[in-house]
Amino acid sequence: MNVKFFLIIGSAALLFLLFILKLVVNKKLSERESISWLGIGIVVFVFSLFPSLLDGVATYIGLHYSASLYFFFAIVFILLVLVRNACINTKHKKQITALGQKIALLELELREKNDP
Amino acid sequence: MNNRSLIIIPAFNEEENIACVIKDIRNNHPSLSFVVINDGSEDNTQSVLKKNNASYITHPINLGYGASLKTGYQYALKNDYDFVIQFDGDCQHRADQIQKLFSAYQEGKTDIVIGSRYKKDNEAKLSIAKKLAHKIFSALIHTKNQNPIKDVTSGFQLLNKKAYSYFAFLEDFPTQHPDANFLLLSSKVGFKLSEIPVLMKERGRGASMFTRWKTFFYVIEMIITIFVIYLRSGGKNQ
Repeated sequence: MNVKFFLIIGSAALLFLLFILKLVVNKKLSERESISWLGIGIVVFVFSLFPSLLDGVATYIGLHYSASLYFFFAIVFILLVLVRNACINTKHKKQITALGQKIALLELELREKNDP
Repeated sequence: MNNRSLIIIPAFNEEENIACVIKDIRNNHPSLSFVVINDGSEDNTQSVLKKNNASYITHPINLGYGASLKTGYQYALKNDYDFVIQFDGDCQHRADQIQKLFSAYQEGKTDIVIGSRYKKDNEAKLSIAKKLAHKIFSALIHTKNQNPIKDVTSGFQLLNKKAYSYFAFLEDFPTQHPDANFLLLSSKVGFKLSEIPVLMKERGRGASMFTRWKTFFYVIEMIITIFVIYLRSGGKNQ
């Protein structure tokens, strides 16, 4: 692969890292949620700085075309993020149920106090 | 000691420890008010609190340690307390050390006094990993103090009304772990900090909230948070 390819990938990773940082600074994304995105941005950036590292990993896992490693990692990462988001979604649903029940019971208590 | 002070005790699943914390406070400071913030505990913490006739506020769901402190600040503000003392619900903090925080406040007149575990005869021994983390965080946060804060994760703190009322409704207040990031934030907004050595115990019974993986992500999250505080403030102290 040529230098141009890694230059584009490196620049894209750097822009992505800056974009994530901007989201955190502007309070659109929490520090905790930014960990995985910053992590993947750093990994891609490091691979673009050291193309031989990408080739080495690709050869190790038996890939002939090292650029496809990016796609492999991207798919794995996206799947992990989706599963994690599904878990968070489940947790939030349970919390909303608990809050709804609590409010309903408090409302009943208030009604009984005001109208015995 | 100021009797218009409130001890805030955040507690999550502390059924085995909370009774000993309440007993310790009642024995050492019978005139001081305290409130336990039961942070959506899934065990019998609430029953233990009821049984001990303790004052408590229950979060309907688990909101985090920082969110519990914030609830405590709001309660303190509503009831017009002059000071709050943060006190952990796992029996690590000792009520007989509260006086030291007040004495340090009287001497230094800082807004926040931190009770530090860096004391020779402390029962609570810090692991090498924890000491290393303290060193890193301590180096990362530049407060206005002459000496850097050593125990950046100590939850044993005294805050005056000026400080706690500022944080009571602050959107940026860390909901999970207000540690080194909280100290940096405090310094950035102009609060004066001081640190004094106090005696602490080892955690009572039950498991700590920090597992190995949680500790790893805690360190990463804390570094990002510190970095972001610097970015937001443009590196300047207010």
